[in-house]
Amino acid sequence: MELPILFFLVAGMLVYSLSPLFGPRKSRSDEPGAELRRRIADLDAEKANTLRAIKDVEFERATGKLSDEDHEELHSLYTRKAAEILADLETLRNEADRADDIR
Amino acid sequence: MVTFGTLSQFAALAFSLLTMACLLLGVMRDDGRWVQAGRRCLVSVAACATLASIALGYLFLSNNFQVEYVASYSDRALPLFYKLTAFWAGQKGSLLFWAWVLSLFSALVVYNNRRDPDSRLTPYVYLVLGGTLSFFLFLLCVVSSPFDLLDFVPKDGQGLNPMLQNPGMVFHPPTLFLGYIGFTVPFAYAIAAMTTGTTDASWIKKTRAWNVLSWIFLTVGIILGGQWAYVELGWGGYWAWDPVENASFIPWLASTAFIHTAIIQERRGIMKVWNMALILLTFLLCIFGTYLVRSGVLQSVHDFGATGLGGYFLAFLAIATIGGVYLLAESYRQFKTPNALESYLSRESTFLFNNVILLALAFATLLGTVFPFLSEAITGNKVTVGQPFFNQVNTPLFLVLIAITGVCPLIGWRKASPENLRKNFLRPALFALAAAVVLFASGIRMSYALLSFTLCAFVAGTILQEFVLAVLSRKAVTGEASWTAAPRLLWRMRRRYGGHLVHLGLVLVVVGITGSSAFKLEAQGTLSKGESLAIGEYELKYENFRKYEKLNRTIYAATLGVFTDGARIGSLDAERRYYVNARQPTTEVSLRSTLKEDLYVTMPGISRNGDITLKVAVNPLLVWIWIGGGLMVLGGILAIIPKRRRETP
Amino acid sequence: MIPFRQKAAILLVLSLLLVSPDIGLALSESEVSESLLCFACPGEPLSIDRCGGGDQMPAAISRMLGEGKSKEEILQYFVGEFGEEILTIPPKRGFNLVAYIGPFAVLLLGVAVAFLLIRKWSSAGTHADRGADGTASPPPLGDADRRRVEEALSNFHEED
Repeated sequence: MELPILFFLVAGMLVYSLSPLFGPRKSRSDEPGAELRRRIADLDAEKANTLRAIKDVEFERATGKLSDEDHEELHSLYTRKAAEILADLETLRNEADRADDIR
Repeated sequence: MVTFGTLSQFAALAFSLLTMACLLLGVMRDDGRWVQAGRRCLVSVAACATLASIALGYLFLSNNFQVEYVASYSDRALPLFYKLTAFWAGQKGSLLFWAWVLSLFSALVVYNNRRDPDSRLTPYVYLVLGGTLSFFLFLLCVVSSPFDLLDFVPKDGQGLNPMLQNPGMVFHPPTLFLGYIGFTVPFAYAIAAMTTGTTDASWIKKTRAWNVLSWIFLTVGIILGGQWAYVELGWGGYWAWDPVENASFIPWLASTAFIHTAIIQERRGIMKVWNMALILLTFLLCIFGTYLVRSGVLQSVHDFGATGLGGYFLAFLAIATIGGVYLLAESYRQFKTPNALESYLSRESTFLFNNVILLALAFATLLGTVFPFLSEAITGNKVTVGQPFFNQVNTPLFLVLIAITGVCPLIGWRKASPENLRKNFLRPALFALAAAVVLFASGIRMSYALLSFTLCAFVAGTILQEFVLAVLSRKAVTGEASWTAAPRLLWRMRRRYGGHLVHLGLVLVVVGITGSSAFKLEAQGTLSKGESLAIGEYELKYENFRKYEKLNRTIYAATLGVFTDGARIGSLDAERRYYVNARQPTTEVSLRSTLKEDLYVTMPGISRNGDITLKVAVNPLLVWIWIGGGLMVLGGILAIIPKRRRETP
Repeated sequence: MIPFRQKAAILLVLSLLLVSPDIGLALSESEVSESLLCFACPGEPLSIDRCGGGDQMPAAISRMLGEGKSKEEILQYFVGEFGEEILTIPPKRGFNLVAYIGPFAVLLLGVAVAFLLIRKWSSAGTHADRGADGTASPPPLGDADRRRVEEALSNFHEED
């Protein structure tokens, strides 16, 4: 009794698993603009890291691990870096929007 | 049902091989259809493995003793609960459990990635998961199937070892396995990242929950194992450094190192290659651990290949090692980033040292575990490497680890100003010094114990100071009261303070270990009814004797009155149990546990005239090991509760 | 060969110092038995032993303790009887030293590597931050940029 059930179950799984093969071909290749999007994503990650760095140094000063001078130095360093990244991001985003418009 | 189980196993193996084939084709032909088919095959593996597991559970419940595995680990008298848990009592069932859980985890990974089904990484992740599954399913189908039949049908099974009939032992192996298996997922992501040249920290971010959760499972498994040894084995200890225990401790150390440097990569984008190496090491150690525990190599050192599993496991380990190291070497250039730190004095650099110590501990433990084999192979000399050896070598290393755990919260991320560090160092150091003076004055002279307690005080002091300072600064900003600011801070920065909570738990564990090993009292004696035995401030009076039947065992119990200063503060039942189908009686531990100390009683002998032999121990502070362990687990859970709000770009 | 031996000896002395046992209390049976295996069930330490087959061993230990023998003498007696395998701890000589010294050697090596790495990384970090000469002060940040960063910060809700 249980064996026919198993047979049908496995047959069902096989159909489920292999059915995508009979659909239309899907290329895994990157669509146009993927490279640009990847660069934006990378830059986004870098932005998050830098913003987190600013929060970090604020927190470390608040809990007394960083002197005011060191805090000042690092804070301005990261702020500068963050400003650069934000500017770059904006340029890239505009570029991406233009590419979308053309398409 | 036997055929059903066997066929399900074969179907699972077929699907896992199909998974690999489809994914390879999909990647090579650059065809998303094949990738999707491979993904669905992986889900089907989970379904088939589930069917096989249901079949094995059913065979246990229906007392089908023609199945060799069921006959070996169950009998008719076994309580229902233990019948189900006998599933993983032996090697064959454990293998099925491994494959089943890994297949479920794989299906979960597929589910988690449902929204981005075709990222560059995932096909390779599934490929590694499918490969590992294929290995275990191959072992199940070809080498060691739990569905193998005996030539005859025995009237009853041999039963489950009475020592394994204990709740701790029921949950110890599966939690440990969950930890072992869980690390397969980050390993798969790491391999995928190396293969595709994905150099960012996305794989670390995606697998953070898997890492920490697997670490939590390993921790719970280790604690439960210790608890089981303590209440069941009756020798008064909880950890004997035997190879099976070490097999769980070594990957725990490696994964702890990984969790720390993974944070650095996530935050700073550095140490990429090192993290790959660490997760590879953790995975290999997990497989090695499974092999040590369940291959039978430890029971009989000399029939290395007796179960036929040894060779396969070694081959799998070799393939994984060579493949992993090859990929590491290949992608080294790609992953090598110009590493830069703002300051030599930063939490990042303390993490580097913590890695060194954790790995030295792992190395020491591994070396000690395999040293008997090594020694015999190289010099022909047979030696035993036992508990005192590990205590000697690992204790100093562990104390260094505790010390650095204390320094860590004093040093901030990215940079610490030296003068601030000095200032912050002062209070915890004074606190630790005060603790040391108090302990010394109260008569503690053992150097290790004194050092250990002092370091614990230091670590607790630094963690407390960091939290109090953070609460104060939050109060200054928000104007909240302390009792609202503290829990809010704990919740808002739960990753950070979850980690600190784990460290606080570790401190409590170390306090418990130090107290119970340095100040243990032991006594032994034979008593007639009415006589007493004294230990420490306790006196145990033999008051009564009973014999009764319960479930599958006969119990002989002696009631002991517990007295301090002549006042009766309670009673303990020392027991010896005779299980149906067991050849030897077992000693049950009776325990009176307080925050201060455990009174630990076993009864190794009962003579015909009713006299009893008692072994008694007082283990100071031991309960803090379990409390600290619980805190470590809680801290880990706190650290992975996902945040609700997400950054909006 | 000699330098290595010297180093090994220093390391050994260091590790022995670190692990020197506490002196004071009278020798108890369990202190001796923790260094011995049960002869009846291979691999099981005497202190954990449950088989009962090794009952003669504790008896012999307490007899010898009664005779005022030291731990070393008692262990030596059992080694004579059953060979070195009866000890739970390998004697500190010959190849066994690898097990004793190896971990500490790895620790020292690791610490050295970590030190070098941190020095390298931190010098790379500070150079990159402060310009080549380390003194040049960068131009001040414009107000617009500063505001933009502050806005991004206030939208940034990542924990930690």
